[in-house]
Amino acid sequence: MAGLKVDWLAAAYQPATEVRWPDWMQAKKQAALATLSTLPGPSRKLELWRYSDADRLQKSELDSAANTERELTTADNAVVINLTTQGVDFDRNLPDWLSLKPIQELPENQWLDMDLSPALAKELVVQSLNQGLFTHGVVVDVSAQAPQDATVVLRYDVAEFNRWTYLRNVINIEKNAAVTIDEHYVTGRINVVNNYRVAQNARLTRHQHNVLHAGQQHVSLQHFTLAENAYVESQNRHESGNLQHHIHWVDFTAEQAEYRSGSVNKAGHNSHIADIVLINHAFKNNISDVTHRSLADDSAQIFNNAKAVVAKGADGSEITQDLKNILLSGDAKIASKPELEVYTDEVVAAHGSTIGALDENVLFFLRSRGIGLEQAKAIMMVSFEQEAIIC
Amino acid sequence: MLEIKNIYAKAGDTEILKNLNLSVKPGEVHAIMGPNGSGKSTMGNLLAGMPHVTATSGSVTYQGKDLLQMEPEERAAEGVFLAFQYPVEIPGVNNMYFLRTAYNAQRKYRGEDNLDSAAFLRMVKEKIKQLHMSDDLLKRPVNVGFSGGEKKRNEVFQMAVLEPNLAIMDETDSGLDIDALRVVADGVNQLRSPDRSFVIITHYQRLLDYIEPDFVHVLVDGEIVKSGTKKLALELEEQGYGWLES
Repeated sequence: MAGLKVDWLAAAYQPATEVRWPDWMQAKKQAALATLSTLPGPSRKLELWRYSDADRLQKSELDSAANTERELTTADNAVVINLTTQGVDFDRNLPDWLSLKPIQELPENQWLDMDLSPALAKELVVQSLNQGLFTHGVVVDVSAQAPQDATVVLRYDVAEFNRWTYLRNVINIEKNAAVTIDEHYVTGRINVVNNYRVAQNARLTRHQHNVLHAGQQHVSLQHFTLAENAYVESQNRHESGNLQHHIHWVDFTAEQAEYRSGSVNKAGHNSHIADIVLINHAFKNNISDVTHRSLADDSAQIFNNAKAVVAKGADGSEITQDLKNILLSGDAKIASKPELEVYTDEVVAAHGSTIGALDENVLFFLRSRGIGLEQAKAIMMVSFEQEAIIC
Repeated sequence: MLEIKNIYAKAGDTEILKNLNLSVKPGEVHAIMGPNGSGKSTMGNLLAGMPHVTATSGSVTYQGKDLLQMEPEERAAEGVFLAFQYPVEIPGVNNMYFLRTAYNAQRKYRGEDNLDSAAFLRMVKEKIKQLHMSDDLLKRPVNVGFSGGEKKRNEVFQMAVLEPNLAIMDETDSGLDIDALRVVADGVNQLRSPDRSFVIITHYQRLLDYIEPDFVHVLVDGEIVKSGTKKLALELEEQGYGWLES
């Protein structure tokens, strides 16, 4: 590929009305595109794309179907933000605990650059494109006055099915605040980057609900920065679709914080799903706990990767990586990779990964009680998924 | 009720049952005893339809039907119940949901309507009360975090709810203390009826102190080598199996 920029610009949705970007943000966008234009496109040569068919990113005709919407939230104190082809839409009558503004009004000091160092730029090339090509997004500020059931729903409902729509959001959870953020995919070919900035003593409960039709694609980078004593629990459901590629990037920026995530990945037909969690334990006494449960059927492929890097001096870090996978057919493939890179001495770490079939003994037990084969398998799959449901 | 004739069966690639014969009439309780590896559990698994246990010759007729031709779920719906020696755990699926699914699946097989949630709840609460068990059992995931005794009690509870015609109890007494043994045995005794038969697989005579069998059979090397009354179990307790193995 001569340069990524040309190909991807052509494939990106551009709004009819050009957004007026602040100079500093425009410069960031241009710099990102300049860097990315020198890079090759994603391929199986890259570690993060080894188990996904990156050529699908350039597929021209995708499914125009919208997904059946589940109930978005039952919380009384909920605000729904619609991210659509036209832009960002929400009820202007906002509660006191919540402030929303378009991404172009983001203060420069809240901008988080993608790490485009040579080592990472190639691997993150698709997600990094977002920095150069994002067309809209929202800045969410949650204050400490947020009530117990404070909920913000980010609803991705983009009517542009074939061209990529690049969205970028910043979610600031202020000191001592607590909130639930539900990311809910409805439709569109979406590449989204979300920067979650979780301040001291703040608490984030996050749900990512990506149940796609067979012809849909979704790429995301979720970047979390956790300040002292911050707590994040992140629940992800990735189901089906032509291609899903999700990176969860976690940076501890102080001590005594905790990040927990649970992912359920279910792929059937010819679906490719990648669920990648990268955690940097740069400070002492932080905890990360990653649980994945994945099921692949037909000729689907799933890539699970949980990687934790513990920096020199980050003693007292506690890391758990628990990846379990079930193959439901002979043609399905799952690659599962827990990784630890530890550069300090006092660390408590446990990691494990298994790939197998449904337990024959449990299947027989259910059938011996009168439950048919398919229903028994369905019950076992629900049981398996439950192990990764953390919130 | 059940007619096992000249059965030879394999568990995996190993031939375990060799010319097994057993006849069970409605209402009867048969105890199957025998040394380790004699084929007791294989017999139970063969009757319930465990996939890796296969008959190579012989026949099993259950209520006039060829039992070996049925899938495990069909056997269950026809009234065959196996109480497992090692009950499995199913995290995330509570007992109530599991049991209602099983109960209604069996009703559907028999052409009956589903029992709605409220009616099912009433029924199971009544059953659990009769068995002197805690209804906390209903809310918990199937066998997760259960003690050995609780797992076996849960098997008896499932049997009470599903009301089989033929219950095969595979070493239900193993790992139970004396109080748990009484609870389990009381449950079985409550379920005894003229229409319901039991095949009780056990190593020890002590269970038969609480569940009075009509017949005791000794299985050695895949074959019943001796049958008798409860007295036979007492003889085995005194003399062991050695005198029958030669």
